[in-house]
Amino acid sequence: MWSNATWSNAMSSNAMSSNTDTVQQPGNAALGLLPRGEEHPPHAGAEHAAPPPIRPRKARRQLPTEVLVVFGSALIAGITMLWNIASSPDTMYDEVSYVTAARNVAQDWQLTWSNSPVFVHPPMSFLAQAAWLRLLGLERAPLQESLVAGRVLAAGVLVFTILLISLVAAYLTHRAGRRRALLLVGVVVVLLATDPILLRYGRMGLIESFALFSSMLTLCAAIWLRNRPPSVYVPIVGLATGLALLTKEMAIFMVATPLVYALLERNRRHALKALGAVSAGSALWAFAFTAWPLQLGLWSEFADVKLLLFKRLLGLVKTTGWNRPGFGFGTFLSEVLAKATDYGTTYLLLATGGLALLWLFFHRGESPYRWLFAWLLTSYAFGSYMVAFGTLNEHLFVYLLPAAVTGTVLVGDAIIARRVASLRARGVTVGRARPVVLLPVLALVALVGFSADSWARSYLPAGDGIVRAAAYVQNNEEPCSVVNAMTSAGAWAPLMPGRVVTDFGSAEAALSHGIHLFYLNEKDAKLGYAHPELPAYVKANGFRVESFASKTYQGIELWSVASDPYDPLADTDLIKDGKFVTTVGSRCGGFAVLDGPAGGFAGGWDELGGKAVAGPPLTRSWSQNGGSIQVFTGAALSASGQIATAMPIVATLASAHADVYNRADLPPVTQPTGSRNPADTLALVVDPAIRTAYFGTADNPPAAAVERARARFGDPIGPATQMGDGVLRQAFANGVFERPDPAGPARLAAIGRLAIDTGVLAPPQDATTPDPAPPLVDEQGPAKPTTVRPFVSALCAALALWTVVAALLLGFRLLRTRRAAGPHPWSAR
Amino acid sequence: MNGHLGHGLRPADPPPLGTVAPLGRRAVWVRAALLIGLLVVGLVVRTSGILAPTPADPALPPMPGAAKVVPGLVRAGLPNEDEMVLLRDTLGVRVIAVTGEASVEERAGVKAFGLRMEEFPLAGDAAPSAEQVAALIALVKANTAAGAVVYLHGTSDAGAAVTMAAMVQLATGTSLPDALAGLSDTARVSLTPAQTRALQEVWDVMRGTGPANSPYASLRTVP
Repeated sequence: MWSNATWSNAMSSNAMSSNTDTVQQPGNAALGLLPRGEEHPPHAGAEHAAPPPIRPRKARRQLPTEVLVVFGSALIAGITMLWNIASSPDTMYDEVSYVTAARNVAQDWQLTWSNSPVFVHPPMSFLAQAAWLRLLGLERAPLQESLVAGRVLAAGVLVFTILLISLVAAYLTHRAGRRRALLLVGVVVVLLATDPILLRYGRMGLIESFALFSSMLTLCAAIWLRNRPPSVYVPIVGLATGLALLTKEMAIFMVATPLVYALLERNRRHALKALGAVSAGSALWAFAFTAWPLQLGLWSEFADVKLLLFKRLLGLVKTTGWNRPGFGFGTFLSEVLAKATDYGTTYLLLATGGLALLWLFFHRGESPYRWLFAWLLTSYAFGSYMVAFGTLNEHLFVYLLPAAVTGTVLVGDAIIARRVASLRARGVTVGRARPVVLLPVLALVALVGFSADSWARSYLPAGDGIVRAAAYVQNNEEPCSVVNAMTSAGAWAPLMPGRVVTDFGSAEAALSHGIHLFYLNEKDAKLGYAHPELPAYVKANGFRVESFASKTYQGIELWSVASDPYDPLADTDLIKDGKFVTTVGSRCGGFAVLDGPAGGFAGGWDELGGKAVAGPPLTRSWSQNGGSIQVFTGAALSASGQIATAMPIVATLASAHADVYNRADLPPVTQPTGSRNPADTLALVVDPAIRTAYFGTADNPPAAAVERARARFGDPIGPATQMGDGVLRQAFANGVFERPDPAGPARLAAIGRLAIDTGVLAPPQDATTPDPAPPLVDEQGPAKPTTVRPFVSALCAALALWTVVAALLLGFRLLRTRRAAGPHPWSAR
Repeated sequence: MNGHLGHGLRPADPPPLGTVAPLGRRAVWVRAALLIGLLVVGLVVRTSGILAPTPADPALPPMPGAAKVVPGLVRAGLPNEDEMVLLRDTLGVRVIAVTGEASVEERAGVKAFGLRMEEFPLAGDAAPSAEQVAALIALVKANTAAGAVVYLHGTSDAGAAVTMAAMVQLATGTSLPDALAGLSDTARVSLTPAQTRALQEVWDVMRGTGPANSPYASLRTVP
């Protein structure tokens, strides 16, 4: 399709607009993009000789070379973009969310990945992905398969984008000799196809590919139709502009290039035409996009989201990126340096693209110069603003790269050509001038080699750690097990349907809710996306269950962290009238401790010292003999409609089940139960830690404290004894105090399970069956309508109106042209 | 044409961009000045903080309802984990003071990030006692001496934390009108009648016009 003949035929009507500084030279049409009026101008520069005439008989031989370039470009880009795309790079929150939204659209037109419509980005790329998933029949397949399908489409679109970029590059080089132009185009393609950041974001189901494609399509259309009348230019370029904006608003910087070109050209007519196209495109965006929230009745939400987006664009709000609070320019530089081994060529090309812009800034030239200058200007104006003030995110570099690479190659070539011409003018021999060319060639080889190495390291090994780690948990952990992700739970949860994934910033906070499974990765902690305290705690207190290779995240690991059952800050949720304590798995189940009609168990448990002293519940409360009982690790509480108190079960255990009691390393019972002199009680409790737990103080307690202690735990019924396991224990009527850590506090030893196992207490079956944990607080708020049908209807209506207006404009123009040309010969007849 | 310098590369060919000529000296100076001007403007804008979303007062956290109570004590809402780290690392907060009962998650987070928590048991619609106000003042003073800041928040939408903060201000020399004027509309609305009465009582005590048996009489002797 790039053959000269095809493009020349297609563009022949462009000759209707004159371009007085050019002369047509058929036979070399710069891969066809060139309209006739501008093919091979006479070479006016004094420092350059006129190009050799191209003999017509060679024209037939041009086709295979150009086709080779096209297919070669597609092949190179296709390989770098698509090879091993199913397993590398690792997925991320944005990709999972976008593909989830596309699946929802494909299933039933719901454009959402939460319970609100996606207003943050325009819907076009989601609709494209949804159509693709429907076409493949993957809209209801496992998300992993949809992710791969989404990637393939995005990467394929990027391959076409690279071809569009090469088309623009071909236009910009059309004044050079054919072979040289093709070589330069080939260099642009190879650099783009191997660029690390373009690969990083082009190989994922993100919006960037679609936004770049629509932007480049707009630029191509603007170049193609630049000399066409407004009645042709504005509808077509305006439509492309509108679709680009409906893909991503950030494209405004790229679609403004024709306007900047016209301003550089100082051509008022062209500027008005370009402005008309941008305005028409913006109107299309405004009409189709705003009609959607209006019909959903969510205008204020839409306005809030868009206002926030605008503020983020301006840099007034920074919630992400390297310019956000705490992430200064120094962070940006250090991160750039840290990633230099992967993204080195991207950074270099961005830098040389900037230098190319600077070089063009201090020169003047003709039409191709102005296009390149305008393209670099819009790209780098956007990029510079983002770096200096805006929301500086790594993926935004994607939008700079097409201009940066093209500018680097073409300006580099121009500089070399000038240098060689200068040497030749001074009479330097070819051999002496050869290094001037060889040096850039070597630099190019080094660049491509570096990029190829980065590509091989990044994308040849399997790197789908998130997908495999998610599958591992799905296959090996209980369905009820909750996992805490290190940063964004949204990247994980859709891959694990039916399972709750959290993203608490500290292990302790996750543990407080009974969550014991953790996904860790090296990258997020290193780059400051996660608090370092989280992996530090998990690694110090847990064990690694499994690890998964991931180049993107520098490895992903699944860890399990156990908690001390007596830790008051672990496994406990505040619920209505009490607490829920997770006792099974990673928030898989547990028991509520409640104050209710059955009795005040929450109050009674707190009275004993709560979880820190009495441990977690082993049962829920059950009715027995007109009262209620609930068993905890360290005590059994009973109540009859009031605050629960500990039951005197220790003596029974020690006497009726002495074997079991002794095997559990429980202390001797030497004293009878029953009323006793408080002084005796004081004399029997001598260990400071046990005194503190029992009386509330290690010193001499007041009489009230003694009475309260006796009421809570009963009298001591034996001496404090160092048991066989090395732990100091002392029996009381209602529990056994122990001091597992010589320097730590005392607590009630685990007699609850013993009481159940020996039949001293006989809870019914259902009382010992753990309840599911209560749902974690849902911060999403109420569900909102999310159907995207109103947008599609508005877009279709807008396109229909667009077509009618465009046809009318064209009709009027044809009519006017005919009238100006005089009566039709037939009518005269 | 002689002088092929590489396969397919002929520098003597017309340059791909067409004729690109250097600018005249005057134009170069004008454009250089324009470029430098742009850089200077950019630098000024960046350093001036016009576009920076940082709060006007760097001693306040970027959180809704943030207010400086007295030196060494700031007040806002319930901090999440990110905000705890921000408070610790940018404001030097070392203690989180809570009116009411903190959640287990918050207490765990406070421990995780090396902070300390002080709870002041108090219903959301109640007024703090004189002992609680005095304890908070002592806590702030002790931390201020160590260069640390105390962060105060409540556990409900009612005004217990606002009242506590206002009482600290009254006890340390601020007048009631000034303390109330410093409250945001939201904070002022959150005060219950009991809390408003208690503030008036503290103000009377501090002015010496309150009854001798006022429950807040002891605040007069707070150092």
